[in-house]
Amino acid sequence: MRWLRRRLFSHVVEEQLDAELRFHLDQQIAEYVVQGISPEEAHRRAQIDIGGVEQVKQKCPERRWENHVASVYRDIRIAMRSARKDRRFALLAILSLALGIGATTLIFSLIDSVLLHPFPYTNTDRLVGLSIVSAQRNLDRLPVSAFLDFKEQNHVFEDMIGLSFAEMHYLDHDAVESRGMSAESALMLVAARLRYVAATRWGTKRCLQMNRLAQVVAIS
Amino acid sequence: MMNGERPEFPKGTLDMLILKIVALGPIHGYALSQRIQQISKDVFQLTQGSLYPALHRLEDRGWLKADWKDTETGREAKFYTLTRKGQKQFESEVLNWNRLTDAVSLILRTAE
Repeated sequence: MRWLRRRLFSHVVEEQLDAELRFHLDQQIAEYVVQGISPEEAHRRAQIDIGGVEQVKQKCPERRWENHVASVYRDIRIAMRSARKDRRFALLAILSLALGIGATTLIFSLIDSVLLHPFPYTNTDRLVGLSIVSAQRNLDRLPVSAFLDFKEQNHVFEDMIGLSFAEMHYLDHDAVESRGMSAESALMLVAARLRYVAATRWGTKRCLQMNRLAQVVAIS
Repeated sequence: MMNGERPEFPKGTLDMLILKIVALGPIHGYALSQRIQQISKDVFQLTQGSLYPALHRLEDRGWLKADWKDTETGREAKFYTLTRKGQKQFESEVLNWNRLTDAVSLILRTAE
């Protein structure tokens, strides 16, 4: 609160500080005069004793805030001046700063998205991808009907979500077919949350281990 | 030993000395510097550059309270008085100081 009062009544604070130091100076002068020194000489000596009113004021806590602002301003000015004086050096400094900041930011955002916050879902360690692989080891597509069968008969996963890369076919309220392809159009099973852990890690990818899954299914 | 120079205040003692003098009664900055100089028989001379920042710092911490009052000559001056908090602070600083000087003199006496 004290600093706030100082900001609001800074002129009063300054006046009081002035008055206090002036009082000291005058007392000192009077003291010298009593000792038999001429007023001019007394004045001069007292000034020397006090060593510059402004310097004294700058050390007082009332002025600390102003001092900070002033010194930051001075630093900025010096920085600008020296940057203008040696442009090549300034450019090099700015460039290395930029590179440094850029590289660090990049690495951090990589680590953040890969290691720290991989997916914005709960229990990400239980999410698996499910797909059908054909005899030719091509990634095969799954008909919607098959997906629905899977979904209905599933008792391994908490839930299953299908994802389509093609336009979907759907019916509106009046059962009018709009927009689309056949009901057997392409669809892939994409995410399923495992109720039982039947997944292993192969590198960074998480794959379903089919024998383990079969076991789990057989038990339940 | 003195070399005719005025020794500087050991670190931390200035606050304690100011609190001590102010404890004797309300006093303004000039009188305070005179008092310290007189009592210490001119060993310590308090420059304004250290006196006023210290006074204002102590006031800031609530150890001193300041009021503008008339002096004998009828001029207004800022008088400092010790607060209850300042009294406590002074007592703990004296305690610390005694402990420190005792330890130092003990070492000086025994480590010969």
